[in-house]
Amino acid sequence: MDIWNLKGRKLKILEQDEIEEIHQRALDVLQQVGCFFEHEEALAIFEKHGAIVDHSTRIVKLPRNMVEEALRLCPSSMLLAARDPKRDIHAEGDRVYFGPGTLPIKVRDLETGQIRRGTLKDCENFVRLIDALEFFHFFKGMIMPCDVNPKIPELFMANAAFNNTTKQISQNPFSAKGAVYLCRMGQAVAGGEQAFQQRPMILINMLAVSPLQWSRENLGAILALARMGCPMIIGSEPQGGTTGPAPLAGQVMLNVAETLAGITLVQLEKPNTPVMWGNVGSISDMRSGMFASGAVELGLINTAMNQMAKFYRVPTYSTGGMSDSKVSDAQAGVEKSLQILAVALAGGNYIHDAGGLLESCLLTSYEQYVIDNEMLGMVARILGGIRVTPETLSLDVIKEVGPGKNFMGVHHTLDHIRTEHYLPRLFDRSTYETWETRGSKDIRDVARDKAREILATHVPEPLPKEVQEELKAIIKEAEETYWK
Amino acid sequence: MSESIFGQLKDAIIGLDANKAKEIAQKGINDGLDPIEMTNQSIRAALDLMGDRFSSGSIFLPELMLAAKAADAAVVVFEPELLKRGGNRDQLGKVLLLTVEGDIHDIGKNIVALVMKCAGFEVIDIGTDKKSGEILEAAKMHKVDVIGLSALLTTTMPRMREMIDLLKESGLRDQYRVIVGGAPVTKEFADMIGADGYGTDAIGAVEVTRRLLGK
Repeated sequence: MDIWNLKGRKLKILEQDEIEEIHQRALDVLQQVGCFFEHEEALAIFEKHGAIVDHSTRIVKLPRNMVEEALRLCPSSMLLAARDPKRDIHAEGDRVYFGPGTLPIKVRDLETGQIRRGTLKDCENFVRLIDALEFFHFFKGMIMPCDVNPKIPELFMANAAFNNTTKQISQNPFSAKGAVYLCRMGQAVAGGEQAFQQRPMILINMLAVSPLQWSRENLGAILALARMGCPMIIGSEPQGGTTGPAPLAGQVMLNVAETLAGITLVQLEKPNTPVMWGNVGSISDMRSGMFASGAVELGLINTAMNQMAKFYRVPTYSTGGMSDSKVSDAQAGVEKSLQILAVALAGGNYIHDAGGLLESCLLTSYEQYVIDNEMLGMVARILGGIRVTPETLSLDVIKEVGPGKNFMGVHHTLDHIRTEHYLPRLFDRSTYETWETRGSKDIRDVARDKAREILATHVPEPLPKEVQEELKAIIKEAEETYWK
Repeated sequence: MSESIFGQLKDAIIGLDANKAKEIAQKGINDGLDPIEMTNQSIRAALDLMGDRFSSGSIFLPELMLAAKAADAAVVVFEPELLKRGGNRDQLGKVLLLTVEGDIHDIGKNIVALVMKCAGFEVIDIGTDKKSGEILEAAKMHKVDVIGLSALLTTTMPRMREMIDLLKESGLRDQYRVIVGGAPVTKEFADMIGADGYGTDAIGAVEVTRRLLGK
């Protein structure tokens, strides 16, 4: 199984005419309802290009052709560079990559099992864990540290990431200035501004605030990052029933409209800026209003959103593999695997939240990442599909073996088992007695042992000394300039 | 020279190359090497190594099977020479294996046979759908130490008890160790019908057989 060459299997929830219809209704929303842009410069850009701008309400009504033209300017492929070029992400077509996410604030302590706030040490440890877990392709900030400057945690998170993995990195900023500093850190790792244009070392995500609002900080970030040539995720996260319509079609359509509004601004400001189509939406649990992160509808919504992105030929940032459970239990297993399977089959290019998350994205744990790594391995196998060739059809070997014998002792079997069969790294297939002899370990205990082993032994390739210093200097400058 | 032939034969088996194993075994005979010594130093050593790798999960059944085939290819070459010398192969014990009457499932039994062979037991595999009487005849004829009964179906499991009862009736129960196995078979069942041992899987079957024979 070539883990760096996974492809979706074209799972379809929407028919072609439904895709067209969602597109047209999203354009209706942008043209008739408009979108709130909390940023003067953004309003001016829209106005200059012919949108109807109401400066008192800051509502922009976007003409259809403006949006469709912007879509034509989006590159259909994105290179997201990793420190190790073998781990580069080529977001395009049906290619599939998995990564963690996003911003839980609590972690289950690996040793005590207690729930506590995340720290910078957790940030570093989680990055190292992801660097070692083979089915995670990229890294995205996984825990909010409570012990760093609370105004710029993203810079400390990115620093921990760059220092502890050679996989590709994505990070959420918390302000427009924070986004710029993140991009500068990416430039430092790439080897300068020019080098960053060829090999952009960071992907920064920008989400609308549903329904139909783009915030001042995110708009400031989007404009600055577009000018810096930084690859961006542009998307939104409507929650059906609260910040989005309850019917999934309406929610998908709203998500499309909000995303198109953001993408249009980027392409008006700087044509051909690489953008990734962001799909994060789920539903709210209407008994509490809470974000239902483990909802099975998320898989459906993401599948539909991936179809929309492919219709537009824009790479996709997808979501799947989350759970609302509080512990790594059966609920977590079912919620996560149903979501991730749908999104992966749909060919989500850059699937984040594909591991570790519990309790409405508020909680994470080390063992959950190790368990989810196994889940991703199994999903990767499903993506591999069934190769039908004369060799794999095995007619010759069936003739050779004949009725009543078996296939264990033929070289053909040996030649194919390792590529055709996924062998679990973690999950136990032994009999009850054997399992009992080995200590009757729950899979959570096995996963904790594995996490401990990785943290005790795995040493990621360090950043060059001068780059480490440069990153520290950027954070110092940010603190001294803006966030003392 | 002989050192290198021992090494080459071991490597051929570990390399799963039956043709090469046969060729080197013949070369050893031609060079006047002792087939018993070759069996112990090359074949046994190679199969022990493969057995350990299998137990630890680093190789899979096909490797084990192909190694056993390569070993067999060498043994075939040694056999006439062994007979000529009147020597016997050094075995841990003789095990009769079969699937009981009414059941033609044999993959589990075949895996047990393979792992037992690799562990150094002589295995007489008489196949599937065997009646108790046939089993007893085979056990007597081959002078086995252990009778291994396999069943996949819950409906054929009672045949295992019948076999043990037949041994008792014939006054031969203490002549043979009886082990039972198969997916639906449990330790409780094995105890209940008066079997001597039960293995949860092929590796377990080898362990219990070793224990029963004090090896």
